[in-house]
Parts: sequence; C-alpha cells; structure tokens
Amino acid sequence: MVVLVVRRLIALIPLLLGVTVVLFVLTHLLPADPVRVALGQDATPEQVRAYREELQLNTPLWQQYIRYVGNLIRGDFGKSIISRRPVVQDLRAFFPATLELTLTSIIFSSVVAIPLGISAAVNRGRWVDRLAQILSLFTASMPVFWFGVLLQIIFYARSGWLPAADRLDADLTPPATITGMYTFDSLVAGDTAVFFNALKHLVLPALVLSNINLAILARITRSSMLDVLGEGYVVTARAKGLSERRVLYRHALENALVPIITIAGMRFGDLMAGAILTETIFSWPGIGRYAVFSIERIDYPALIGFAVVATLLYALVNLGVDIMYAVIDPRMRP
Amino acid sequence: MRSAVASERGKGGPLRKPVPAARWAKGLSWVVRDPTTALAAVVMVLLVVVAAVPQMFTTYDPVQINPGIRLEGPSHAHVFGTDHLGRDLFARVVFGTRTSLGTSALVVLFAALIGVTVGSLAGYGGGLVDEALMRVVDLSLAFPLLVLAMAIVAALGPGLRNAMLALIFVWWSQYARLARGLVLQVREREFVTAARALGASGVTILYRHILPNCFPPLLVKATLDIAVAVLVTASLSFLGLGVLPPDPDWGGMVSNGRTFILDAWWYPTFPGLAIFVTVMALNLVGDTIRDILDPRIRE
Amino acid sequence: MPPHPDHSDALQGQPTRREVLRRGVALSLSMTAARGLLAAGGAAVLTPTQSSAAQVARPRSKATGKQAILNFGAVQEPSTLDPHLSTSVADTMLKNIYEPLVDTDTDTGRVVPTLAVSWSVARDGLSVIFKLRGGVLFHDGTPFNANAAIVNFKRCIALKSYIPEAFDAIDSLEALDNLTLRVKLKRVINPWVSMLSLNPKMISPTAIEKQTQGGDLAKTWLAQNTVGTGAYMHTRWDRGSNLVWEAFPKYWRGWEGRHVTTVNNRIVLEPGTQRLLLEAGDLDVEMNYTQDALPALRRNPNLNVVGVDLPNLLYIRLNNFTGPTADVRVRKAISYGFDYSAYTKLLGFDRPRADMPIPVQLFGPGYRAVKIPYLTYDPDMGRKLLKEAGHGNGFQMNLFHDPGVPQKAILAEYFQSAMSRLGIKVKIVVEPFVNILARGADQQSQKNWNTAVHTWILYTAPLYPDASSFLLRMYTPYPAAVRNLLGYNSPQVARLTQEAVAQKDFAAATKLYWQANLQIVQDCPDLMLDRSIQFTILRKWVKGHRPHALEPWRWTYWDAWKEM
Repeated sequence: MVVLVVRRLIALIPLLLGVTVVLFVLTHLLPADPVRVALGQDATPEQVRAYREELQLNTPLWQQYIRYVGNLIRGDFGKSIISRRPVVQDLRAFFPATLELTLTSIIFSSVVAIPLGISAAVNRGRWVDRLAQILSLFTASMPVFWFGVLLQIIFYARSGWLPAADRLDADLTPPATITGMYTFDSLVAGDTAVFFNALKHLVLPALVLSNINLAILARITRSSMLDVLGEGYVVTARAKGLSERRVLYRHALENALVPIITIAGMRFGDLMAGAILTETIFSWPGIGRYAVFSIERIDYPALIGFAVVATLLYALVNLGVDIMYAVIDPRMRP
Repeated sequence: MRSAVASERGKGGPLRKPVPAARWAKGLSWVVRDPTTALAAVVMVLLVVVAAVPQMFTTYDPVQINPGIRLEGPSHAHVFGTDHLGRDLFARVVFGTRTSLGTSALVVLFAALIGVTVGSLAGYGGGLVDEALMRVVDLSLAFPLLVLAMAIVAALGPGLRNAMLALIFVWWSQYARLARGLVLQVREREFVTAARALGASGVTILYRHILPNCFPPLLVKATLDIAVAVLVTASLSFLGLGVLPPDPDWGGMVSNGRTFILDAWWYPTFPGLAIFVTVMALNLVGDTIRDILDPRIRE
Repeated sequence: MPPHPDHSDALQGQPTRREVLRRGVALSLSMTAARGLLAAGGAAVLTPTQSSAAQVARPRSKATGKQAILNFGAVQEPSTLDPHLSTSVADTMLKNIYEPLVDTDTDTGRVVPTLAVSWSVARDGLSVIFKLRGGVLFHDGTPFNANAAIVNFKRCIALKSYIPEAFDAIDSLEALDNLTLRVKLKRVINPWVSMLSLNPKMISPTAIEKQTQGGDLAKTWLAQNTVGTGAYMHTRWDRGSNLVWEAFPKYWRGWEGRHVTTVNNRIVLEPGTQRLLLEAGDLDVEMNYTQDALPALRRNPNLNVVGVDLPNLLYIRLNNFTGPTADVRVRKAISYGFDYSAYTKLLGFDRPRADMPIPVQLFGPGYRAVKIPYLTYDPDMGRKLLKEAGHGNGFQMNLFHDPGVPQKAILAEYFQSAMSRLGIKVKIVVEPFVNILARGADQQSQKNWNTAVHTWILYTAPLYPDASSFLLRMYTPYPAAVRNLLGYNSPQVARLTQEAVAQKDFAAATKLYWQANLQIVQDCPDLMLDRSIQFTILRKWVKGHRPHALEPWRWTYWDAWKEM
C-alpha cells in the first residue's frame, strides 16, 4: 500500500512538470504581453521595458522556465504579473470557495443520483427507470450557462427566494478563516446567521454544478447495481429474509460503490471545468473564475498556479480512489 | 460537462464478438417500439439535414442586419423573433446548426483518429513506446478539459478553427487510452494469436484483426462525445473564445442574448433550446447504439 | 444625412437632459476660464471654496445600518490598490482613498485644488509653486506636508507613473516651507498642472518607508493596503467578491451632513447579474449595464437612470501606413459609406456624434460654433472615391476590437455590413485590447498589409482635461503617442502639437490645438463616431450623487447618502 502511494506520488512529479511546460510554452506563444495588461492601455514603451526587466522577461524562455520551476520546487508560485501579489495568496483566497461549491455539489448529486439509480435498477424497465433515464438525460443535455441564467431568473429575480451571486450577503462579514469554506468556518465560530446565509448562497450554483455529475452518477449507479443484484450474495441475503432496504443499501450498494466512486473520481476534472462556467455566472469568487481572468489577462504565473493545483487535486482524488480500491478489494494490492 | 459516456468501459468486462446483423435489426425494431428514441432519431436526421442545407429552411440571411426590427418577439414573420441587430433568430439558429454540429462532429472525428492511432500503437507496440506515449496521454488527461482548451484558444486567438484545434488537442487522449485498453485485450485473443501464427505482419494484424474488434465501444463513445462537444464548443463561445461574429453560433447567441433575457426572453431561449434538443437527441441516439452494441446493460 | 444638430437629441425625454446640457456648457466655460486665469497674470492664484483648516470630526452616523452602507457595483476588480500603478477604472475608484494635489471637478471637469489650496506658475513657465492644504492627515495619523508631497513625486518618477511626460519634465523638487512646494521643470509643458490630476496621489511617506522591502518602494505592500488622505480607508478585501471601504474619521472635508460611511465595492461582473441585484435592491448603484436594458430600467419606479455626455470618443482607426487605407480617398470613401443614423438605430437609441477628432468640449465655447466638415452618408460618393483610388472592385480588410463592450460588437457588425455595400469585405477579429496594442508595438508588421491591423475600434477619453491628452496619445507619432499604432503621421500636426505644448499661454496653446484638430479632419485618419453617454443606474434611495463630467467611471462616495 505504502509502495503504491509513494510510486504514484513520484509519478506526479513528471506530470506536474509537463503541465508547467505546456502552459509555459502556450502562454509565451501569445501575441499579447501580460506586462501591457498590467500597465494599462496607455503605458509608454519605457514603462513596458522597465517592467519587463523587473520581471526578467528579456532572458531566453528556457532560462525563465528554469527559474520558474526552481521557485516552484521551493513552493513559490511566483507573483501575479497583474496584481504583483503572490499567486499562493490568490490560490489560498479563491480555492476554498471552489472546494466548498464542488463538495456541496458532489454531496447533492450523490444524494439525488444514487437513490435514483438504485430505484431505476430495482425497477428496471418500468416507469421509474424510464423517468430516471429521461431525467438524467435532461440534466446532461442542459447547457450549464443557460440553466444557470434560468435559475437566477426564477429563484432570484422573480421570487426572491435565493441569492443569485456571491458567497454571502454584503452586509455580513465572512467568518474567521479556518478552512476558507464559509459554511464550515461559520459553524465552528457558532455564527448561525452567516452559516444559513452562506448555505442559501450555495444552493443555486451547487444545483447548476450538480447537473454535470447527476446524470453520470445515476447511470453508473443503475448499471453497477444491476450487475451486483444478480450476484450470489444478494440472492443469499434476500433468501435469508433480510429486508429489501437492508439488502439494497447494505449488501448491494456497498459492492456497487466501487465503480461509482471510480467514475465520480474520474469526473472530478469535469467538475472543475463546470466550476469555471458556474462561477462566471454566479459571480462565485473561486479559482475557476480566477483562471478565466488569468487567461484573459495572460497572467501566466497565476494560470500555471491554477493548473498545478487543479492537476494535483485531480491526481490526488484519483489516488484516493485507487487506495480505496485497494482497501476494498485486496486483489488490487500490488 | 461531459455527459453520460461509456468511456470507462473496455477496462473490464467480457469482450464482445462482432455485432451480428440480427442484433442491429433487433435494435432497430426496438427503436420503432420506443417512441422517445424514435423521436430522437428523427430529430437527429432532421438536424443533419438542416446542417447540410440550411438555406432550405429559411429565406432570411442569418447575418443581415436590420436596424428597424431590433429585438422583436416571435411572430409569423420571425418565428423565433429577432436579435439586438434585427437579425432573424430562426435563420441564425438554423445556420448555427452547421457550425455547432459540424464542428463537434469534426472535433470528435479527428480526436478519435489521432487517439486511436496513438492508442493502438501504444497497446500493440508495448514496451518503451507504450510507456512514452501513455505518459503523454496521462499528462493530457490530467488537465481540466475546458481550461486547457481556453489556454490554447487564448494562445492561438479566438475563432472557430482554433477552437476546434484546441478541442482536438485536449480530446484525443481519451480515445488513446480507450483504444489502448481495447487493443491490449483483443491482442491476447485466439484469433489474433492464430493470425500471428499464420505469419501475418504486425500492421495487418492490427488493422485487419484487432481494430475492427475495438470498434463498437469507440463508436459509442464517439456518438456520445459529439453531444459533449456541442456543449463544450458552446461553452467556449459563451466565454468569447469560439466562433467569431457575425457567423451564427448557438453558444455565442446564448452568451450575447443572456443580458437580454429579461426584456427579450426569446433571444437566449431559442438558441439554448437548440443546444438542449441537439444534445438530448445525440445522447438518446448514442444510448440506443450502445444498447444495440452492448446488450448487457439493457437486457 | 445632416450632421447631428445638437447632442442633446440623444437625451430627448430623459430626466437628465437639461442637467447634461448645463454641464456641457459649464465645462466649456470653466475650462477656458481656468486657462485664462492662469495665463493672464502669469502667476494667477486660484483659491478654493473649502476652508483650509481641517475639519476633524467623527463621521456623523445619523445613518445607521443599511442606510450607512453603499453597495456599489464595481466595474472591475482593481488588480492593485497602489495609486501610482493603478490604471483606468481602478484609478478612478482609488480617488476615494487617495487624493492628488489637484483634481478634476465633478460638475465641470476642470482642474480644481484638492490637497493644494492654490498654485502659481512663474513667468517663464518653468517653476510652479504649490500652497498645500494644512491640517490634512493620512490614515495612519501622520500629517500631509511638502515633504510628503516630494516623497510621492519621487515615487512617481521612479515608477514611471501616469503621466510619465509630467514626471520626466521635473528638474527639482523643493519644500520652501512646511506647506509650500516648488517644482522646477526642465521644459515648459502647457498642461502640466492638469496632468497632476492623475498623479501623484498622496501616500503616507511613513508607510512607504516602513513597508519598503528590497527597494521596492512598498509596491508589494501597497498593492493591497492603503494609507491615503481620502474620505475612505480600505478595510477588507474578499477577493473576487467585495472591497470594503470605511470612513476615515479625520477626513479633512469632515463628515458634517449626510454621507455613506461604509462602501461595499461588489465585484459582480456579469451585467445581467448586476441588473438582477440592482432591481432586487442588493446593489445601490451600477454602471455596467447593457444599453438595451436601459428602457426597462427607466420604467422601474425604484431606479434612477442618470446620463452624462462625456468627451469620450469612439473611433475606428484606419491603417495609414499601407494598403488601400493608406490612400486618403479610400479613408474618406469609408466615411462616406457609413450611415450614422442606421448605426444609432442599431444601438437602440440616439447618440451624439463625435464632432471632431478631439472633443470640442475641451476647447471652449468660442470653438463650438465652428462648422465641422463632416463626411455624411453618401455611398455613391464613397464608391466614386474608391474607383478613383483604383479600388472600384473593393478589397478585403480586417477589423479588430476588444471583447466585452457590446457597443463595439454592434459597431463592428454594422461596419461590416455597411462596408459590404462599398464592396469592401471586412473580417472581424475580437482580441483583448492589449493583444492589439502588442501587435501595434511591432510597427514593422503594421507596415505590411498582410500582417497589419487594418482597422481598429477604440474609445479614447482624456486622461486629463486638456486637448493635448488626445493629440499626445492619438495623433503624434508612435511610440510617444501610444495609441497611434496604425501610422497616422502628419508633420504639421506633430509640429503644431509640439509648439502648443511648449506654450506658456493657454489661449495660444488652444489655438494651435485647434489648428491641429482641423488638419486631422482633413487627413481623415479615423472614422469618428459617437461620444459616449455614461449612464449610472441608482436606487432612488441613493441621494447626493452627481455624475462626473469628465471621467467615465468616477464616483465620489463621500457625496452620496441613502434615504430609505
């Protein structure tokens, strides 16, 4: 087990290096120049030259890259070209918002999709199954950005039930940072007003983001439940006279969970992509929106910082899945 | 973002024999029995026809600006209303079909071609080739798709061609991984061993014996991926990185139109519906193909 | 189509029409007045209306709770809070925290005293003496004085802050006493004092000294912390979401009367979402509207829509270096082919047409009556000129503009369809503004039609209230004129500008600017379009706000209060 983890962590290094190389090259292919973005539209050539020198942008690309990676190894993501703020600080500020949103959406989509998938499997071919199929197709086919705008109109503009933007009402102060996730931090601080407000702000964006995962989760749950339901131990459990509920949720689901988790892990990257759109629409100050801004402003230290974090997260989630595999299924152990 | 896709299959599960014609026939009869899928198939055919000959469906020029009739609601003359430049939205949605479907199909086609080539080389070649190619694939897979596509488009400049290049660039690796897995499985089967024993060359074995047997899952993935590609190209356009004006494009229309939603609901709504209906139809058709090729799930 | 008779048409039926008119005239009047005053005596002195004694008082919180808080829909999130490095929109926001020696007046746009109470220019134009305001405190409690001003001037010189011309020209800085500053210049720059309305905005020298790391002049620290003299202090920054600014109790203008004491600068960049928030009352102010939403916003009984006609012009710059557009006849043909009324119809409402390459507002009433040689819509004339120039069969060209400005997109698409009637095929390329600037920076590529930007849509507003702001950025040779990327080069205009800027006398300078303006009209380097009307949409409960006559996004929070 330890060997597996260590080997996978070592394998991450070339992966991350690759990510930085690709983005470094890509961002330097651009016709535009982040220095100009930073200095504004009326910057004079001398101003541009001075800032380029300050950033050492006049040295050959490979030297810049080596310098960048050298700093990265020491945990220094560099400074944003636009704001001159350490990228680490930005990531720290924006990442918890995305994490909070993504986790909420995962929880929400699991709570809806797994029972839906189970009942579809149990009632295979019947109307529940069909309904589940249509519903999951429905959500999978809905363009995120369109769905988001519709929800804003219905639940905010027309009814005023739920907030349409941001993480908290403007007259509330965010809780002291522990994790940066407002719901968690406010609970720890015992501030229920902030907690419920933060929760309300989460509903719409999380709903939109869940869209992405709901269909796939329901479908995988259905098919792996179908596989499992035919297995001997389920038949045995039923024969032993256990309640159907217990059979489904204890015996069948536990075994069906492995593929479900695998797929959920693999879809994590999509969730990040979905977060970009969702955050744009809902003015959610997360790293997805940060990435969009960084791309618009060609702020490559910021962009690469984002990509490294996203890649790392994706890889770690998948590693987690593999470890779980190994725990559940001893045959997978190396 | 990505819809219900069976890309993970091929990692496990029993291998399928080539699909007998009888099953296709059975599948077709099932289509007839199932009204939803039948409808989806009809919609698909219709969309393809619209994409092929859009001028058959509207007399309006999709890029003709008409200051006098800005933001008019749906009417007999303009079924979907007009946009902020007085262009007929129906004509724009109709012509946008070609952009959206065409782009998506091409992206998936090229991604699949490149991916399958790389994947089968890796799977069949094995050893160092495999190792090297698959590291590249891992790298490519580790990126959030939309982010990399955005970075590439930003680097190359916005526009349809660049958006397509970017999507192909980020998409091929999925096919490479799937194809490699399939090739690895098929490689060890009796008929391949037999062919090898008979002295067939590596290339022949790969193309005559192995790849045809990998085809069904790839086809399923490709069909479902077109649906995803429609959504992703729309998303790129939504972020201002897709089709350039004045060419009609669904994602761009939703993006432009969303600020009008309160005063001219039809503007973002119809292009949004077009995306929705297309993706839904593609998903349904993709599901059906999968059910035909892989009856395990349904039966 | 006749030339636009009067820009007031644009505001027909709007509540703000009269106000805008009055303001437009006032602007022209006062600017000339200011010039005359300064020029006449050689050492005229302007006295401010405010008493120079600092009024130190606690902010009166008659307003409590929601009433004291202004929820402002920010146009963009500032990338840095450093007032000497910030640009455009962020810069105007920061004037609530930092103040310069002189500033542009909200109602008139002219230069008025702020941290300087008066100034005098010596007869030779090379020495300017500022009397500084006494009793002004920085947010850290230290006093503002001549030495503080010198530290800030030096920082701007070192950082090449806007406007570099102004700082390059400084020869020496000297504190004659605690509140008197003398600046000696290397050369006469006619609009020098006007230029100071941008910078230096005054930062506490104590803070600069304390926070400097490795000789960075506190750049890193000041990117996210502030120590100014302004009415508000930056207190919290929820990244990507909100910048909270709170009243500085010892602000020199004091807190008598009604003011908002907390401002939430909310970062909601989606115009659609901003509108939803405003209509629901979660925002008090927004400026990030789409034009087609304006009629509906006006109908909303809870909202006020306030418009101001700004000297912010929209141009389509044409490539003067090479290709068909290097020929003045082709450039004129393009102008003839453009139907301004059809274009404004597409915009959804009328817009005042730009009268001159340099907005007449910057010249004064004497120049207002001059007949302007518009090229009005006449496609036949356009085709004739094209034929004369040997392009009777048309040609292809590209049009660049940056994303995110709906009006530019509409203009681009209209231009495309209008040009197709002349046989010119236009390809629209949407690229970030800086990409276009970077293309232009490679001047060689602009001289080759295959690699050049052929046409380019841009807005230009004055950086400071003077005609030279346009000439020096738009119409003199690149690279000094940073926006003259496409090779407009008239030796005459360059000479006139140079001469004008070196004038000690304002009236003489203005005359030369005007001549340059007329020459530019002759050369037709651009297609001139409209002046922008900047709208602000406010909840009716927001009182006291007056739109700024010159700076598009400027908002003085201190002026405003809420009555709910």
